[in-house]
Amino acid sequence: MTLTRMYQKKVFVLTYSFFRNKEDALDLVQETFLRLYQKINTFEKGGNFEGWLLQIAKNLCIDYYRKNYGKRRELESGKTVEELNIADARAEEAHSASDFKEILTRCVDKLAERQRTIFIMRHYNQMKNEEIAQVLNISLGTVKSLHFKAIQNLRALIGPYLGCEG
Amino acid sequence: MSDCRNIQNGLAAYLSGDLSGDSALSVKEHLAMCPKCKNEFENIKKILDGADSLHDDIRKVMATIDWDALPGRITQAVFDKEKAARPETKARTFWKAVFQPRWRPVYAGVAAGLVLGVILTLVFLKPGVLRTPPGAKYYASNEFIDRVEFQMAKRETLDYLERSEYLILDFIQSPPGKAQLLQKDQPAQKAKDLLSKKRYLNQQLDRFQMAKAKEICNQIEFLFLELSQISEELTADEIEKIQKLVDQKQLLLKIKLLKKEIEKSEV
Repeated sequence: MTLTRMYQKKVFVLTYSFFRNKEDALDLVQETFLRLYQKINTFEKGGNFEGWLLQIAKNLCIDYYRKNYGKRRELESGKTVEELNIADARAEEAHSASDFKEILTRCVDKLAERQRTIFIMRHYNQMKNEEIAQVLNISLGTVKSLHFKAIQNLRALIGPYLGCEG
Repeated sequence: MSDCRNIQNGLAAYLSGDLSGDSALSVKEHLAMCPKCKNEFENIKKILDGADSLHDDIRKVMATIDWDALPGRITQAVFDKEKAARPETKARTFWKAVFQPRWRPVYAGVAAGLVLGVILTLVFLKPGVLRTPPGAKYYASNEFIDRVEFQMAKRETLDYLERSEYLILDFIQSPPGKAQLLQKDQPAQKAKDLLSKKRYLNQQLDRFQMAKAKEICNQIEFLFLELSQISEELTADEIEKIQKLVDQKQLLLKIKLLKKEIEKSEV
């Protein structure tokens, strides 16, 4: 109960970043703590508990995302990101910050899994590279490299919207 | 050109604050004099600013959640899941083994046998279910019942007449001195019995329209009434008077005739 109180918001930020859906995110928070209590005996003393917990949450999010999302976002609007870009580019003056956010989140969804996870952790969760490396159990260099690739790909995807070539 | 490519590749790291002091300085100087890279810098900054602003959106959503209630919900879910996953008890395991799907045909056969056995037991052993118990009423038509009752009435009447005949014969054939003794216990009692029987016969005779029989029976009844009411100390004169009455009414003859008629079913 105390553990839940301490870490529920951090877990929620991560799960909400993946799905941007409150109900799904809360379900995943619950599932994360369920898994935590099941596996608590396997946690090594002196380890990074927060990192371990977020790792559980991240794994659950990826599994859930694979099962339930995928092409769901595109189906929801009936438009692909490319279609959105073209439509938006034609009415550039009318673009608002919320439109850009929508485009951005769609493009983040199109990123490769590891790039997306790192981008979400870095910018939505505002985690440091070191923390991300610990949670994902990868080197700091790999985190930086994947983050760079994620930005490059986003730049290419959002290029038409920004009024320049990608 | 090669500088621009390198600078643009490092823009994300520069914006994220991941570049060391010297590298960051050279990027800054390049951006100051290269409009193309400056433009690219603005584009990437817009992407990263947009991504960072999503964090504010998350905070707004978080403000709508009851964080005090969530731990309770999660704890409850943990208990529920643990309860569902609890290892089965020995008894439960035993019953689960007993009721394995592969044994279902056997149990179905046993159950069917039991049901059949119960039905057969009810049908063949327990009276009154499907089998008519001995002594129970059979169904019979009204006509049949009437016929049976008529025959019974005939027999009852014949019996009544016969017993009356013997009683009267006993009485009138007794010598005047002994008639009193006989009358003392037997005749009066027999007369009373016959009187009570006559009450039953009345209904039967009326029902089957045995008018002639009823008339004679009525005369017998009258006689027995006299017999049953007379005092124990019957005088010789009184006995003689009754004997005369029997003679006068030709009761014995009538009884005999009536008996023959009833036997031939001519009444």
